[in-house]
Amino acid sequence: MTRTLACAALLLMSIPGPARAEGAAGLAFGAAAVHVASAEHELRPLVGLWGRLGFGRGGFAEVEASGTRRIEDGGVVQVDERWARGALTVGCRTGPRALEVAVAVGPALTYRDTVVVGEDRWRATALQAGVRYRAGLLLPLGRRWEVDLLFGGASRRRNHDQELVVQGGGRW
Amino acid sequence: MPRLALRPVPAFQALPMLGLATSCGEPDLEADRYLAFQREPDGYEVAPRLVGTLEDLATITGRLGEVRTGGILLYENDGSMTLDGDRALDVGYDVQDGVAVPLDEDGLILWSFYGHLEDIADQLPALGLDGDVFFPLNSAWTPVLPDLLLELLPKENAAYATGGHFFVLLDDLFAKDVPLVANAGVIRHEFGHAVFHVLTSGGVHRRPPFAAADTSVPSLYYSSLHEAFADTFATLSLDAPDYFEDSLPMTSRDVRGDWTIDQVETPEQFHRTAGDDPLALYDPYPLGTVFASTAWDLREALGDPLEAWAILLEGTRIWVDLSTPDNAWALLDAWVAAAGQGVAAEALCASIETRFGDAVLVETCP
Ligand SMILES: [Zn+2]
Repeated sequence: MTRTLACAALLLMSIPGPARAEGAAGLAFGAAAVHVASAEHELRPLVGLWGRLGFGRGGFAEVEASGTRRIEDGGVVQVDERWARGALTVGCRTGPRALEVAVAVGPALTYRDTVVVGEDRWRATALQAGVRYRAGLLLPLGRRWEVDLLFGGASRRRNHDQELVVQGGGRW
Repeated sequence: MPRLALRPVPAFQALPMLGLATSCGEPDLEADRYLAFQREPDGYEVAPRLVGTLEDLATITGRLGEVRTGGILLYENDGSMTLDGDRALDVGYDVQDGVAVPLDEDGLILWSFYGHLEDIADQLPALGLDGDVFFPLNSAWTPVLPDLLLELLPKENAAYATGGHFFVLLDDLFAKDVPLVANAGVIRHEFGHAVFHVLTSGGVHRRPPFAAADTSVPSLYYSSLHEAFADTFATLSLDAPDYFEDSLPMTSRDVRGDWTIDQVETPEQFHRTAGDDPLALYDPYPLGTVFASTAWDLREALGDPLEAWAILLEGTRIWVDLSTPDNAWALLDAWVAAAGQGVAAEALCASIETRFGDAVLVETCP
């Protein structure tokens, strides 16, 4: 176990330059346009966590978890909508080290949890699978950090959410 | 090398399989009720109502019609409207103890709309109207509107497409205690337009007597009478003189107000002041509200909204037979004629004298 950890540490230390870094992880903030009742896209704040592992020449796998919430508190009814999404995407990146372009695609699972409080309290939940895609720019900040601007989307049944996020994190 | 570059393709081939997996979001329980805004004597509440005529909760399809989404609303040359490129809704929901619970607020609002439509259908025989004439009545949720002035703010409204025979439903820009489309009075107002269209045009799919773009004096009188009749239907069928208040403060539409003809602009006055200004728009509501307030005065005098409605509907039918659809003053004559003699006629004549004064001479009044 100790030998494995040492090997892993040596391997990480041997990777040169931030643009070819093999791993990165951090936080994401942005705005989500969430598809409701299949007609309108509603704008909501979005927060998330992400981690990326590189492989081959410019290939990478990324895991993400993000969530959003909207509370509509009227005099007659309160609707509290929350959703969380997990996704695993595979992609590739290319371009100069100072600013790379990245695209990725993969499966996503969205969990929705809505509480309606009117004359009584009701709850609706749903787990909806779909396709996730992302594209954007990766900007290294020195050797250790990066900040990215990414547009993305995910399908859910016949619906389709989109979002624009700024994500930041550390590279190793 | 090109072959290697094509390697991502298997990932895309997997997409249809992912599409199949999405069925895990489908509710697998039968619902016998659904959550909806409902109007009670002491105000609105959100509570379960029986599924009734609503056969498919996800697409909002049932015996009374279907709600579609998207598409573009088109004005035809004959003044009617059609909808192009619309598609089925997909309202997400879950079922808890037999009650369908929507996953988002839009679902709740649209189910509420259908519930209001069902309440209207149930009441039509008591209102002296034949449901077969009006249903199915489809609706378009948030379509693209071609009208430049509406397109700037395609929100906060609802409409009945005359000739096309469908409702246009728009969502709210600002949150309300009762969203406009979930307001039973707003839906009844729009249904009132359908009734007036049938009375004056001869059928739901018949072309209206004036095109939407027609701004002549007769056309503007017809528009005002449309609004008058729509509010008369809404206020009397619901027995709610200020149905708008549940969503928006709008005292100008409260039919208990002291509205008189002197306070409003007639189409002739509008033409005189607006001249040839192509951007000037006539507001048909104030004149319409004077008529709808006269109708409400009759309800107050009789103490019974449906008795008042029966007289006004009969009077409107007499007017359609004897006059033209722009002759606003003849409508007052016909209402009085339908009232016969006694309390109803006296109340109508008193109201007409107060609200219209010297502007109108109703021959049937003493
Ligand atoms: Zn109207």
